[in-house]
Amino acid sequence: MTDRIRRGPISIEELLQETSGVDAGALVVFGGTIRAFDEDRDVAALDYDVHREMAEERILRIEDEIAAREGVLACRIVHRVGYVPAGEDSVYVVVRGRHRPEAFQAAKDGIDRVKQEVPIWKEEVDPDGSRRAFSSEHGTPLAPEPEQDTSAARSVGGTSS
Amino acid sequence: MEVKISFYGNLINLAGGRSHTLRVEGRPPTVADLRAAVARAFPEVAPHLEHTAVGMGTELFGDDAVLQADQEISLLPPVSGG
Repeated sequence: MTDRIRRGPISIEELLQETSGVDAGALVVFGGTIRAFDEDRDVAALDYDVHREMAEERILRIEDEIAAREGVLACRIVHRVGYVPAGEDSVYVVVRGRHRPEAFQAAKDGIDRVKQEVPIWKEEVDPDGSRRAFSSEHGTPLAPEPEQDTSAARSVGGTSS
Repeated sequence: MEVKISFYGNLINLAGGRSHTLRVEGRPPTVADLRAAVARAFPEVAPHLEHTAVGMGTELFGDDAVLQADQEISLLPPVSGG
């Protein structure tokens, strides 16, 4: 199992070191931080649920596809799950590229894809401890990939032998 | 067929917990049959099933896919990470 999903704070220094290289002229880091306010409410924390095995696989796929782009040299994405207090970071996308345009675009696409494709869900925790799950209408539905949809029966059967 | 199912995200509270065992009818039972069985067994989840994906292992499957008795099945509502 890889370590793109973590419980507890993420070391950004570790991610910078893992992606370092002498060919990169641009480094872009996106960090997602838990806001202490949402509209008119105080927020103590977000509590993230995850399908860990699927999330690890999907994040690795996103990293690989972004890192394969022309001008992108490295991409690393790590998402924190469980209880994340307000003011702390829940996700980092680190991209190193030859030049800044492709690095900026890659980091933006990386976090956009995390929000749309990775099986992670959040629940808002109020200062009094009450909880409010993000409703389904505010998320992005997952769907089978087209080539897997019609052949699902065969591929599932094949993995059980 | 009896299958193990796991709910995620906001579906956990609606289903009364993460993990359950469910009987699914069908010859052979498919994802569509599973959805129908979930709707009957978990009425509060039923309104959310239209936008809920069904996973086995790390893959997602459409309604025609055949269930396997040894596969744990995941019910995944729209995602909201980040």
